[in-house]
Amino acid sequence: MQLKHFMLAVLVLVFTNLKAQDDKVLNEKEVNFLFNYYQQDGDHSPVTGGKGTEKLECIAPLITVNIPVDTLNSFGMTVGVDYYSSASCDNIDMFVSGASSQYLSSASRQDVRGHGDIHYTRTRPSKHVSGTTTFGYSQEFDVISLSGGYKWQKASKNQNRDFSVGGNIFYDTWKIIKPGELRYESTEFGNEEDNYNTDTRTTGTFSISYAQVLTKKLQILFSSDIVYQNGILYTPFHRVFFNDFTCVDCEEESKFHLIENLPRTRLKIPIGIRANYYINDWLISRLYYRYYSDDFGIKSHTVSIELPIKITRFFTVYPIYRFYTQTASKYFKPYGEHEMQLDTNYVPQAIEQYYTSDYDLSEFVNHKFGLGLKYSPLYGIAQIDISKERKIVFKKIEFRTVFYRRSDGLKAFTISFDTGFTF
Amino acid sequence: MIKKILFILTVSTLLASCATVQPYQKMYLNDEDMKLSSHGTEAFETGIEGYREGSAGANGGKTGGGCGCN
Repeated sequence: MQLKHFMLAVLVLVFTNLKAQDDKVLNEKEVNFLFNYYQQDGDHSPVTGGKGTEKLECIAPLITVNIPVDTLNSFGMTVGVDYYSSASCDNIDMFVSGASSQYLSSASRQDVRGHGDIHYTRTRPSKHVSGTTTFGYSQEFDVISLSGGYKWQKASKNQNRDFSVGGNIFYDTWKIIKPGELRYESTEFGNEEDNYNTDTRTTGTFSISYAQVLTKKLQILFSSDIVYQNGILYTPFHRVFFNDFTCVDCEEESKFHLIENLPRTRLKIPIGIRANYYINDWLISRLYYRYYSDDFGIKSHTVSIELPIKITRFFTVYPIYRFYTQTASKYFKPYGEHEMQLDTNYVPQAIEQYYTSDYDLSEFVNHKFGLGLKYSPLYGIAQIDISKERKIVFKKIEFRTVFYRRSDGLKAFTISFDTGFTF
Repeated sequence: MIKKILFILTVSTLLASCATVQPYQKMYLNDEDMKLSSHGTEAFETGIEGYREGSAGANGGKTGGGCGCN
């Protein structure tokens, strides 16, 4: 119900804006509705130390609005809600203790994340330059994120080359929600929504890209980011179970385990290349490759291919395949394999400074395959006259579904549906 | 092997960049599916991949901020 009200408010805002504008503005306003569904299941949840259910469902509708103010300036806005339910998060309090939060046990099983951003673009056609400023916000139960960024783009006079450079800053505030049995202070109990310690994470991204038309049918794009993160990089409700030689036949709860611990800084460098080739009037090839390296010890390769096939002039089917492989982080070990020792008082402690059993940081291969369908007639699917001079044009319908098969057993799939109109 | 492929792609790009394609010759390049960006419907997948894989970036997607991960 709230979402309906919100969508209505967005539409009213857009129409109000339209009325206030100069009638001579020729550029079309555009509204897009995107619906996404995601489901996964696996058996290596980091919440339970690298074993246990990873079942997760997420429904994520999204609205994007683009409003050209005049031929030089335009505004845009994106608003979305992610509603998810997570079986693994319900295990934050799997070992119920006096410190376990009644609030969390129910709330963490399902959560809502609201997010949105606004952007403003100013172009200078005489110099083939444009600049885009973006501000964003997102909020869920345990994380609030603020972001801001700027992108500068310049095309060559003949539009055959395009260069862009940009930067983004994200500032996240995390509630420290620890597993129930590992909460010791009153501020860790979490029986009230604001009764948590907090920590922050700052992410700075510098992006650069260069696009080049090579022939009448081939163009490529080089892109790279430098991403630097500082602050909380572990997830406070991820457990790590150690190789507890003092407690071989104990109940799991009694085995020595701690909260995941990772360094407070991380540097990521991905480099990508995209090449699109118009093979013939009914077939296009879209290729992408990325190499990635970071100081957690992860190196990865990504190759993807899409082959849009034009069944008719306006109806396109595109099969999708993506191959991804990564090495493990130097801090990763599976359940029960991180080493521990006893101090002089026979109290167990971790030997390593940093440790995780999060399989997202393990070595694996991930295959993604799927299909997309797009129907986009030149003059739209349907038109509704709203006045003598204006009409709403429903531009396209696009449907896409993909499946993931990760070598550690994680299976997932997504469904996306996109439609939109201009006026 | 990968270094060789990257080297060949870079060199061929530099050599070919001298060729000029005129605006009236861009009917193929202007096709919707020839855009050098990912599909709008792909953005959600890019976010998911950022959570479920150890790497992210260099694809025009989001490279930080928030969680939504679990």
